[in-house]
Amino acid sequence: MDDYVITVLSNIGMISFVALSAYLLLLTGVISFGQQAYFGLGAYAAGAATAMLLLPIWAGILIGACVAGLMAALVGALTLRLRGLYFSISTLAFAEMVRLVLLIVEVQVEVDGELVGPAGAEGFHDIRWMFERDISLGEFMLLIYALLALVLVALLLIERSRLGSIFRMLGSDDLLADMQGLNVVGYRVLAAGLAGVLAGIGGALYAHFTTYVEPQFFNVMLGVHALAYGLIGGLGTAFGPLIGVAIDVGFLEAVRFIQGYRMIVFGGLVALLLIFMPRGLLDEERVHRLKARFRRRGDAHAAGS
Amino acid sequence: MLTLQGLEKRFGALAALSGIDLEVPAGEILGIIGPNGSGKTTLLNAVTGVYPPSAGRIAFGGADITGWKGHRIARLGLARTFQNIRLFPTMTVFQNVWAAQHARTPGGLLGLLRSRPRPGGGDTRRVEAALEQVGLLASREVLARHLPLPARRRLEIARALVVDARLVLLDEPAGGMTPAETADMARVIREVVAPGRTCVVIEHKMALITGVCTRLCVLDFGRKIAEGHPDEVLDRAEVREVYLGGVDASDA
Repeated sequence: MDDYVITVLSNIGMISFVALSAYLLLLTGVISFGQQAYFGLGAYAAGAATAMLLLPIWAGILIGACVAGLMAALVGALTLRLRGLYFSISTLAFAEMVRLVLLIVEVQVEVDGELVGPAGAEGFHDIRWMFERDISLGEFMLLIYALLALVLVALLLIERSRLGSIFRMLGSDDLLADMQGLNVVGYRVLAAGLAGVLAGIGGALYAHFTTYVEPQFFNVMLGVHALAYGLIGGLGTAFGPLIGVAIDVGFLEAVRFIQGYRMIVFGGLVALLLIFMPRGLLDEERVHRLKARFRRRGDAHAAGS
Repeated sequence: MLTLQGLEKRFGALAALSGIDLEVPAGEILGIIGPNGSGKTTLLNAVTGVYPPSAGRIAFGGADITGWKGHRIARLGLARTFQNIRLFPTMTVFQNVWAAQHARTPGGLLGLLRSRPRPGGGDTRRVEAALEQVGLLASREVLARHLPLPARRRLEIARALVVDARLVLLDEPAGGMTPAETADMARVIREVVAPGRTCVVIEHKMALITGVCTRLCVLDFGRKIAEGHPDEVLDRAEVREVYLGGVDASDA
């Protein structure tokens, strides 16, 4: 594989974390335009951990995930009492606050005679963990996909669990969920925290893959795309947003001739899907039918053997 | 079981409910009737915590629940149905009833991470018993949105049965039903819901009201204008004037 393919595949993997993050909140029925903030916080926190504090990469990813998750839960606790659009706007406002704060924050320390750390609008350079250990892009890509697989398994287990049912109840009808005894705000804060962790892991990986991060990357377009991935791929299963990412970053990137028109094609695709399949390619009903078919086949198989 | 004192609900300048005093003793099936816009559903929403009352007190089973959030009130043992039927449309019949049971007893963090039961599995006996009682056991794998209207109303009732609610509030349980379906709903309320529970029924259909209610309360413009035994209340001139427009009750 050449570096270009590895870079595209790695981007698909890293963006998938933000897509899953937005998806988890969509499941509970709230639309966040601000998941890029937790991707950014994860990137900065993880970069600071390995480049400034010289901690190992796993500690960096863990710190990135925790910082993003705690922040997301805290912001969620303050804003999830707002309804619908008001909540969505508050997520956008917070994400812009994070970006603007990162544009002015300068905290640098001396490591091996060089200044390392966030330098405001200049970004945060020299997150050199990969170079120092002579790790290739391919090897790092494997780390990305190993973590993505782990996260995906965790999400699929959550969906099969009782917590997953509760998330879907909130997403389907939060008044009914409330009338049945569920603390709607409480469970949404939990979902927001978990979503923050997912975005934070993605950001932590991104910082180390590109070796530098700058606030401009965590702008609202990243958040809007993250939302769109779930809406394209479908809200019926965690595979949905991954399909959305693969269609956008993979397919549209690969088909070179539409390169310049990518945003137009992407926007058109989102519009068409929202009209004809408002809950995406793999929506709840299609997932239900697929599961029923697999179960029948499984039962027939068991009966035949 | 349920006590309302001076209950009042205003939306801006509109007084949807004013000065409602009501006592629902345990074991009763209270019917609430009144013209459209008389405050019946507002009363039910205020009791179940959809919104807090503007004034007055609500007590349920000895606890003062005035201003409580809906989920806390529900956990005290209250269940309701909705005039415009609320189900989780992309869940199956089974999942809808299980979800209602599970919402009351999530069982801590570890309980939340356990996998959801499949029909016929471990702790699904209560769910299946509730479905059996309303005659929906055979449809348990059907998506709720694919059910016909009478079955959807019965599914809402199965949800109240599975959580063993002490107080069940039914908002037009026979809305949109044919006379035969209405009679069937009356039978379900009398034989399945009422035993061991207290019920409040909002309804327009006299066939259902006279068939199940032990007492009747009439609302008009957000005020209680009559209360008592169904036959006696429906006979009063002011009730017939306001609610039935002067028509004989037996025609409605």
